[in-house]
Amino acid sequence: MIRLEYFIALAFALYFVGLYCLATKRNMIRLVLGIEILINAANLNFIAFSAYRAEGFVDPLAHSTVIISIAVAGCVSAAALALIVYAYKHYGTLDIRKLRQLRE
Amino acid sequence: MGADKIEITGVILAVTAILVVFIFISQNSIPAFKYANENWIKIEVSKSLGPETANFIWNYRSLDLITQAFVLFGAATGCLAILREKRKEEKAND
Amino acid sequence: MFSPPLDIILLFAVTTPMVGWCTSKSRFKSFCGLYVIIGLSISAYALYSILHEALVSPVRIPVSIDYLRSSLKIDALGVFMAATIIAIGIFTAIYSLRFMAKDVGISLYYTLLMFMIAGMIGVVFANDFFTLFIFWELMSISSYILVAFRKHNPEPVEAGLKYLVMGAVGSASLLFGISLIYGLAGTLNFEALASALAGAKGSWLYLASLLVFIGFGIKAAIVPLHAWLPDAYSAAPSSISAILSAVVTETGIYALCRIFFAIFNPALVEWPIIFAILSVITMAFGNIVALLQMDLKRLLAYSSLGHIGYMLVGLAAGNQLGLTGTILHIFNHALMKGVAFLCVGAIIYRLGAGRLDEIAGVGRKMPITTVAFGISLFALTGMPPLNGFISELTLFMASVQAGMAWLGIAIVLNSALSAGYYLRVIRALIQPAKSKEIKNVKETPALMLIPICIMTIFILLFGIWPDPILEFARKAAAVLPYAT
Repeated sequence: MIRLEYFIALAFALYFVGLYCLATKRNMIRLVLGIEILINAANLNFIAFSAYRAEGFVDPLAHSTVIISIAVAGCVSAAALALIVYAYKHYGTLDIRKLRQLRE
Repeated sequence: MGADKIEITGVILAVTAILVVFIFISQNSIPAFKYANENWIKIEVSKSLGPETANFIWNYRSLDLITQAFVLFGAATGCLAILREKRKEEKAND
Repeated sequence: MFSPPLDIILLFAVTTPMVGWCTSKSRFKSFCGLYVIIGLSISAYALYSILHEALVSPVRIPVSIDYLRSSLKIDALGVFMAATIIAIGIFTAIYSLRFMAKDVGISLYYTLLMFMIAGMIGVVFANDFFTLFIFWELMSISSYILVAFRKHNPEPVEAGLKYLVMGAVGSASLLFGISLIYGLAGTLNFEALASALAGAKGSWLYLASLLVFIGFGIKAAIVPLHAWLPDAYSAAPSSISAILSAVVTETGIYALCRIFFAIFNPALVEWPIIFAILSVITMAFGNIVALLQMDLKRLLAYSSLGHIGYMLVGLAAGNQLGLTGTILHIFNHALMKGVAFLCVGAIIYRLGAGRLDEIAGVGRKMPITTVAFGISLFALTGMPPLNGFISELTLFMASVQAGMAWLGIAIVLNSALSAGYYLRVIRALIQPAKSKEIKNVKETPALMLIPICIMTIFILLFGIWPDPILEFARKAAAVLPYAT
């Protein structure tokens, strides 16, 4: 089997890719994708640990956690997209660096 | 040029962080389940995972499932609150 | 299902949109507000009836299976926080009856308020990491939408989006930390984790606790992670600012107390020094930047940062007295900051402006509001006959007892520094009027004045006679096993 460390390293790599996406991208919809990538890194971590607990067995605690966490990620994205619709109505652009009204 | 600078620094920081984590993982291996208990509920891989996991959630994790339903309701209410426009009778009352 | 207080709030939350739709044609538009207040009162009564049982031995739900699998545990700390949350919720709902009366979609506002309160009560009752995460998300999603509720102005939407992005990063980091803890210990239940990780050390444990700390620290607004706070508090409607600063941010501090004193043994992980440094940075940053603010709500937001620094001193001290001080300061800060934000909301409601240079002379026209605002600002400074003094004194004694006297001196210096900008606000209120619009300003409407007056009376009462609440906080802090 593939060693467990590879999966954990991949989960960390996804986490940093998600943080990079949130920190540098300008389009607001790409921020929503960044949040999804972050949550998926954690989900991958759960499933990897659950598969390696014992040979030939799976731990369903992690699976139930991931099922519910995917639904929660969907809810957060829905709320974010609703706010982005209104931000577009007010500012006319999808560029997050142009939202500077509160900056003073 | 401002956006390009931010992107380049972002890429450099992210790649550095990933390399640091790879080196860290290769040096100290994960003590996976070192502190774990021996009695846990198992499911064999050869059985059908879908119905078995569903049984587990229903028997042992039902509170989380119900709360998830409330989270969905709350998110739907929230999106409705944001996307709602004034209706005609409310405009007439102003 | 869940325990009675939580059940009742969720039931009322789900039926509020129906009540709002049925009564939308009648003249009294905020009928769903009354419905929500009735629901919160019934839930407060249910909490009171399980109070005596929970103080003696914790109530676990579900009861039927073996106790290492119970998802909710109601003990003294949970009951203390739940009582604070429901009380502030009732006062905010009474205030919103008049404050939000002219907004569109008011039944959805009350529904989201109930969901936020339900989420917070679920967080304080949780006994399992994943249950805590789900209720945390319920609270967070409702608060993102409530900050952006008045969507026809651009500022709330921008503040809500910024808050959402930072809060979602916090939740994702929290989930990542939970997955690492699961990988180390194989279970997510707090009691099972406490016995499994009892002697644990190693760098993976540091990494997992760091990620969990980032997750809770973004919501608790500890200083490098606080950037959403000033914008969200100043752009939200004032009743939501009050409940955000009073209890939502403090739920992060509660979660830090629970995780670092009931699961990770703090002496092994060496967190006290890090908490101490972060608390001094947070206090200093909050108070110094507040001196430069001209907008009232932003000033109060930065002063909230300072008070969160005070709460972290209790966590850094790590002994029973320190945790008592932190928990007591959560309650006192909720009262004081709640009154302050509600009074600012009343001034903005009557005058239409909230900057220091525009509110000159309002004090003569709105006397009761100004007196209440003045009492709450004096309490925030820590003056003796008011309740802020009791909790700051407890934190000072705890830091001396733990050998970190420099933290206590930092609290005193920061209180003196904060007096600088609080007194500036009071002086701006009682000056003679400068502009002409002040002539038509009347006193705050009665429905908005009732919660302000009741909370001010509590500030005075618990300052002069702190024994019952101090005893309650002591019992709550005694629940945490690793407090030395």
